[in-house]
Amino acid sequence: MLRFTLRRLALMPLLLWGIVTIAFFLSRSVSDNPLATIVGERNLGNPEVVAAATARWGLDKSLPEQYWLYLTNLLHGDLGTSFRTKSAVLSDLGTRLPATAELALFALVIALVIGTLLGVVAARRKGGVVDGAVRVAALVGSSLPVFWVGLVFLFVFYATLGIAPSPGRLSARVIPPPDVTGLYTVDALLAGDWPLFVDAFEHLLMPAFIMSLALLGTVARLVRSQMLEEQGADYVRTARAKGMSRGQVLDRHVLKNAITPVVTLVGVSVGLLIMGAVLIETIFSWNGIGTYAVESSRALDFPAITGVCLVGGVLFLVGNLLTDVAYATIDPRVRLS
Amino acid sequence: MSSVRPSAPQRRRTAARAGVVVLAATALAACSSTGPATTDRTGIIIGRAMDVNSLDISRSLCDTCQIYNSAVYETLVRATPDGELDPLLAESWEANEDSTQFTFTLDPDAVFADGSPVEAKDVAWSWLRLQNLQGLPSYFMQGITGVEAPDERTVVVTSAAPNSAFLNITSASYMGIVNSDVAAENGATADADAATSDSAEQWFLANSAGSGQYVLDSYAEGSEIVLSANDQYWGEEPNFSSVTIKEVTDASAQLQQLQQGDIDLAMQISFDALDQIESDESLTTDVVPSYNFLYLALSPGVAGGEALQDVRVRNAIRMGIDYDTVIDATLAGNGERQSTGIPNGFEGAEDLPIPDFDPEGAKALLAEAGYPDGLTLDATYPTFSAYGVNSNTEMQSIQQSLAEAGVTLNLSPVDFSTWGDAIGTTGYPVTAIYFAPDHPDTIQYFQYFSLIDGSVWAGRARMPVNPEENTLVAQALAQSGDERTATYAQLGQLMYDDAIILPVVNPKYILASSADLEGNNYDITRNLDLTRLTFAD
Amino acid sequence: MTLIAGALPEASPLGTAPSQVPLDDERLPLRARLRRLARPQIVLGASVVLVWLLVIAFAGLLAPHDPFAASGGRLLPPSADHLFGTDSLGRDVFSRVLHGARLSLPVAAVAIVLAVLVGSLVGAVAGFFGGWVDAVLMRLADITMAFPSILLAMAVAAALGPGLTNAFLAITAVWWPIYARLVRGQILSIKEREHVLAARAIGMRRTAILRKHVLPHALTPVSVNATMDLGQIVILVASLSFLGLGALPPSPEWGAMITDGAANFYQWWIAAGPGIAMVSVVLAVNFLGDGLRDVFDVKNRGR
Repeated sequence: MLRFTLRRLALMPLLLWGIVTIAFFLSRSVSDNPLATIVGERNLGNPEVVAAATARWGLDKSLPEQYWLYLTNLLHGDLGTSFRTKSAVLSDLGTRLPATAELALFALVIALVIGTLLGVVAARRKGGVVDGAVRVAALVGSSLPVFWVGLVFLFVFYATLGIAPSPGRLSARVIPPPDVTGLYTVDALLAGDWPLFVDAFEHLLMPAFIMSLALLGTVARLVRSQMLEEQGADYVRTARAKGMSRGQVLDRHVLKNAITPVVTLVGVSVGLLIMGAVLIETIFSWNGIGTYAVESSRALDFPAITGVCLVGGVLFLVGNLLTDVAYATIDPRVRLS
Repeated sequence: MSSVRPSAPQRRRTAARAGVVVLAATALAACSSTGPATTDRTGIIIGRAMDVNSLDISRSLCDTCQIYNSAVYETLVRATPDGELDPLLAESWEANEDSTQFTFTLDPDAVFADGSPVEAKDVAWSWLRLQNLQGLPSYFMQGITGVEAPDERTVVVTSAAPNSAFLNITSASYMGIVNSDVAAENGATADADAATSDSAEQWFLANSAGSGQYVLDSYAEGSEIVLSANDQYWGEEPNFSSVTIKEVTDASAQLQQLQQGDIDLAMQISFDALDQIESDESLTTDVVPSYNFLYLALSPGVAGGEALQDVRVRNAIRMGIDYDTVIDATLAGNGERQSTGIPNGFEGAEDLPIPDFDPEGAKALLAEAGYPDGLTLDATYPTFSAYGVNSNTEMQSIQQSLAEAGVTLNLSPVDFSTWGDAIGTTGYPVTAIYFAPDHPDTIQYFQYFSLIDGSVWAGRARMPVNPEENTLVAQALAQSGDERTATYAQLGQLMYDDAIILPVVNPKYILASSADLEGNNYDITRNLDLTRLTFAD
Repeated sequence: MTLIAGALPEASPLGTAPSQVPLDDERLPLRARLRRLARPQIVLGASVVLVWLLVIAFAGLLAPHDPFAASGGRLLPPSADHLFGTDSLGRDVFSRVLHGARLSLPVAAVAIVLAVLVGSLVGAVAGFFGGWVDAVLMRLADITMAFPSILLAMAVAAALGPGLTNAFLAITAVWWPIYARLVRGQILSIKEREHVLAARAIGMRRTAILRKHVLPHALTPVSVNATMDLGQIVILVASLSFLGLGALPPSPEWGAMITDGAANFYQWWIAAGPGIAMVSVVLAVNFLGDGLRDVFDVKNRGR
């Protein structure tokens, strides 16, 4: 087990190195003048900025040397300066990550809770209406373009019915909680400000729900199939023989065992959640990593794009590592290579 | 595998659990009726699509910058809505006979937000820095040879050539005065090499150093600018405890948020939504004429714009735009055609020719210029929503009508910052953008659009300077009254003949705000004058 | 277990009896195989896809108006003449949706075919040669897959500049590793089968074995997975356009049309038309793919 985890960990730097390498050559291939992708075209006329960037990234040196310097800078936590926001990419990412984390975590919780409920119901009525509906819902969930669904929800619930709050993380004029974790719901609770928590919570609901749609169906289907598998297991028959009611067995044992593998979905979902973040944040004026990625891409702000890819890659890899380890821990039948 | 049917009590229990979840959710929602702590209603929230290129007053040039600069900084004189000049930081001023020397006397009460007095040296430093940074707004200082501070309260400006427009120019928001001591401590400099040695732009993203009613509280790119009242303000107390300019990109999103009360004032409502606003009693609206305009700019000297070097091609493009249809598509008809880069209503614009849609004439001109089968041009423009006009709609409409005349436009919308970066360096053969006046004098349009030395668009279009225009601008600056108006008109005709700047529409403007906000306005120098806005009691 | 792609612990897909004979089994007569395909899910999906294929073929005839020119007033709500209303330039949204199908579907199809070709080639080489070739190629696939797909697609699209062609290049760049892994896995499992071993024993050349014995077996899982992915790619293309990194105006690409709709929020029909069209296509493709997956008992190893 330990050896397996260590091997996975050892692979991570390799993968991260690959990501930054691709990002480096992508940024160098865009323009004949690498300076333009580092400081922006407008600053090309500013010798001071140009000189600083040239020294920092070794642009007067050969490509391999530049690449080496780039890696060294990265290792020192220097992701460069975004020429769009004019501040360090690392600090930009730091201020925007909590907003995305809050949205994604919330979406994950919604997907797990509702998905499990649906899966359990579907398993209990195998072949029934709910079962069929869950199957269709799972397919529909992964077939919806989230940006369109976001618009539809905003039109119906915000603009027409007026029951959903405005896009954004808090209502107008609401003062954000003192910054501890950066997650408004958590910070509001830490500050003991219940109404503020409710406000932040309400703003999260709609975007997080839409984000969870892509994942919900997968969770439901996994829980369903696990439930069906567990029901045939020996211990269920033993428990029934000992006189436990069918309901008790289902509740106490089957559900618990069936849900455990769902944990492994959490890691896989990172990619889906990032995709959701990019599109949903754009529609819901959510000032997180997703909107940062979109704006940076539109502006060809390569230091920022690299930073976002790196963060996304790290999250993705950590998620998958956790999945592999969790899966191996939970299910001893999986032999680790 | 046998299917397991839950027993009746089992089902009830599940139902009960589901009920609890629903109840909890409802309870959460119900709690919200009390609402979280909010800032009281003394702060105003303004929704607009921001186009900020810098918050450094001497580097900035944008509509949002006008609002920001005039809220945080103050100019020496203030242009009233009818174009007169009122005192602001200067209590009095005078010009010599031939308009080559201007003397300002500062108000002794004026202080910066840190409590230090506004002195003549601050004025000299701010204006020299504006000039020496050689940035976008530096053209306001064109021709100025010296700014001196003989004593703490006196500023003397000298110009090599007569400059009868200078007093008007000083009312432009970019001519606001910066606290030189504070700015210099943070990397700003007014020295001749400021363009390369000044490193304060980043500092200005988080700080302001002015004497205005407000100070910068925070700026989050792509999200909001928050200003708070300046406790040290030396004049009349500000009307708001805070001013938030919130990024709301779409015109329709602005309308939604205004209707829901999330913003108090929306600056770029679309005319397509006018009925909806007018029928909403919680909102006030007014439609007013404006001096803004949207234009197509042709750059013959840019790679890909070679065909445009023939003025007949440029004229053909002007004739190929179906103005009425474009104005219909973008503003539901609420706009006027405009001759050249001088908006209707400004001195000298009265008798200039107004362009007409004439696809056949355009085709004939193109054939004459050697393009009997038409030609193809790349049009790259920023994605914007300005004055209610969506740039994608505008350009697609223009593309449609030009196709009739045989001109194929390949459209490519880009991000505003990308556009801002490229327009000054590589340039675009055809682009579209907009302009709002900075001060009450027509001279700004020649300095920005005509083919004279130092003109922004002469540079962007890579066009040679037209000596006649140079002479006429100098001449106008030495004139006054009807004489000057005649020269302005003559210059306007020359700009029209250049066919570099092709105005598409001079739009009407929708003032839209919540009904309890009074004094919503359209201001020549400030875009939106915050001092005239107030909440009704 | 593989590091990334194998992470989805999807147990046997719904409704599939484990004992089922694989459909590509040569022992099964053709008619029986076809009967297996006649599931309502597959029939429904296939019919909708067929309808859209017809639309693509005859969009010019089916569309009541010119998709690029104004036809009647601006911002008209849906009516008999304008089924999906008109947009801010007075163009018929319905006609634009039909013409948009000519962009969205073929672009997605080309992207997936390119991804399959590139991926299969890489996978085949890696699987067949093994050793360091395999290690290098598979690590490259790992790295590419470690980029969240949309971020890499956005970065590539931004670097190449906007435009539909660049959008599908970006998607190919993102999607090939899935097929590389798939084909490699197939080859590794088939390599040891009797007839392949026999073929080697009688001295057949590697490429011949690859062509005659290995690739035909890999075809089924690859095409089922490609069908499953097609829907995702339609959405990804539209997402890139929606973000302004794909189709350029006045293209009636569905994602770009939804952007127009977002700008005219209260004229809901502008975004409704292309949105409904997209959902119907993606849903149909996913129904089809899901059904095929069940029938062929192929495990999905998507992102």
